[in-house]
Amino acid sequence: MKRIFFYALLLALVVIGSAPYVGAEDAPDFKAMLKTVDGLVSFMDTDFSAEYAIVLDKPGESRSVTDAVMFRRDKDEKYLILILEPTSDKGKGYLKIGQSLWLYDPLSRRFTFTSSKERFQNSNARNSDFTRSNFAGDYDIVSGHREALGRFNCWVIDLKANNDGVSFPKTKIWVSDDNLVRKTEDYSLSGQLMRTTAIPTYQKVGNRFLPVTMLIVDNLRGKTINGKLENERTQITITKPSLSTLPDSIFTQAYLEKVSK
Amino acid sequence: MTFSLFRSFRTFAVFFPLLFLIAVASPRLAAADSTVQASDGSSASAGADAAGTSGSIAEDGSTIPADDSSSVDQLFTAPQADTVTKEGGSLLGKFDDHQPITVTGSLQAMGGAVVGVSDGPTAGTYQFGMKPGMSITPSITFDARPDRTFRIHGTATAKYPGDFAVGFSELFFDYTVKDSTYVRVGKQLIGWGITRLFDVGDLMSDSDDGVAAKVYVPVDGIGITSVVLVKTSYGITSDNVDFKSLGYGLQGDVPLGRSEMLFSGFYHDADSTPGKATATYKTSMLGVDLFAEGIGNFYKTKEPSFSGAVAGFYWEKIEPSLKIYGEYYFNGEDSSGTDHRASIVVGTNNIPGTPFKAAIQWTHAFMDNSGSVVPVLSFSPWPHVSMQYGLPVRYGAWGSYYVVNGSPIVQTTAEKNNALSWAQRIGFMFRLTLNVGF
Repeated sequence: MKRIFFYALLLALVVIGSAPYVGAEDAPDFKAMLKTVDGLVSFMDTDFSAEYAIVLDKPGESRSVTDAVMFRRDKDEKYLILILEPTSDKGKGYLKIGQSLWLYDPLSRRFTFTSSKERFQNSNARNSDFTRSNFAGDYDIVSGHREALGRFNCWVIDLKANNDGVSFPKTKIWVSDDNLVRKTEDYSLSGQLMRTTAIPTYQKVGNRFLPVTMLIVDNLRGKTINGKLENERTQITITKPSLSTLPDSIFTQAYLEKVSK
Repeated sequence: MTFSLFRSFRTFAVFFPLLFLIAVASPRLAAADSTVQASDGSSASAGADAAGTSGSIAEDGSTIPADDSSSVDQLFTAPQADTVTKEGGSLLGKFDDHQPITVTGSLQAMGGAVVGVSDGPTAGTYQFGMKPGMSITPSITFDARPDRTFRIHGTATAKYPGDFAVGFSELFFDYTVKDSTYVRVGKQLIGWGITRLFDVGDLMSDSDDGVAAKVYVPVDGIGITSVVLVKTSYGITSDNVDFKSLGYGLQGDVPLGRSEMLFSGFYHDADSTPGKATATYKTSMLGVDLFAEGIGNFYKTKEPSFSGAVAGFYWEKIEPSLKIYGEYYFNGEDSSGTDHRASIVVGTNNIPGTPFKAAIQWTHAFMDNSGSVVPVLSFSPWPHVSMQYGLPVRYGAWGSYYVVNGSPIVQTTAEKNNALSWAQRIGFMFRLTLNVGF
């Protein structure tokens, strides 16, 4: 009996003693992780272009589809987006050069400056969603912990903006073990959840990654349909990615005027 | 007189807009009357139609979850594996290579009415009035690109009010030299300047009244645009044309890190003010876009003079949705030196729990303390259709900038574009707009 008690006690001590090491992992250098995350989805050594299909679903309303083409040069903080569909918006364009973002209206043939925080074509995407990722530069790390997200094991990192240029002052990102952001939650300064974004699948182009599709759920807009709460949501599908070098003249107001309707 | 008149119309002015608003909006309000604010801040409408009640299929065939954001996590339970995409070729050919002729069109129609009290022909008199308004603007556009160097584009438009005769609002061709120099020749709109409210710095504001040749050339990161303009009003024919009779414009766009400078000038020898030039500076600071623009006049026989200056800002907040932009304008051509004006717009794209957008514009002339305040409520009840309700109010003495026998001396850009713009002491405006592209 004493022997059984002794072995039971020994086993308990072993279990208790090893408990802190079960299921725990050393917290990584989150700043370095963010730099890796940014690096995998930014195109600093090549130009980038692709077609974007932006599908906005408003509960109880008809679906709207916007097709656009994007030309991006991350190293110079430039992009040009041209709207191809719907017909009513065809020819509108966005030109970002450094901190300046211009919206081109083909009806008035005028450029007006706008904000990267604005909604893109009234969808749930922001203009800032089309720039390069810069979590490491724009945000400070608040905390991080390990969490499972479906089949992905992720680090969940709470971030707080360190400048006013970003669209959301607080954000939480789920980073899978391959250093890709799978999910984000964007918050207001008061902690109100404003937007949730899911990127379940990436496509590798060259040695960089970009989403196949990303689903953006607007947590502040929605309706209850048949007793079930539905939020507005936007699905962005990226196709025909290209890393071909683009002429410098692409990123000019004159080029946008030329290719517009 | 003023007091008694306003007292007699007070009931009308206060209650009629409300009754009208309720009557017109009632079908929509009835549909949305069960809209409530969910605990998480999201709006929820019980009893709305059953459209879109289940999961929806995106264009690529994937299923978008049909409930709130918690369902987002379901996407990760069995996601499609990451893929490797073969890099495609340049997308530039989508625009630059041969494209057959395409024809598109649009229809913009507006109808509505404004009712209210405006100033009479003499000081201290007022008149009650009602004014309907309507405009229809159909247009057909064609566009063809035979190859990457050439494009031809035209838009034929008919307008009512007007004779409804069809005419080309634009008809031009583009020619590209070595993928960097862009030439556009023909009847075309050219927009310069960056103001939203006081449209005084756009030296090309009526460029479509004639024919222009525009050439853009990038030089060491600076974009140079030159324009040769022949307006109908110049009265030029093949017999009397010479270099002095043409108008010449030049603009330089200089990026300066986080800022940007624009220089532009225009010269037409026969004008009373033959030369005009602007310098514009734009930057962002603490999340606010700031700009300043100065305009100068140049003469053949006297010293250059200061024409005016505009300074403004643009600021946006995401939640709650809020945009504020404002501009201050000093008119340097006014000999008294007292012509200062300012205008500010506050707007939201979404009043929480409602289908409405709202905006209010306040414009003030400091020289005589006159001005206008125009609050507007709008929403879209059906596809392509928007409804607007406004309560325009003007203040100031009779004969002042904004209260002159029913029409202001100087209009803001928004007022110029508003077919129902009419100076009232107080009024109610209703407008229905249809905008369809095809």
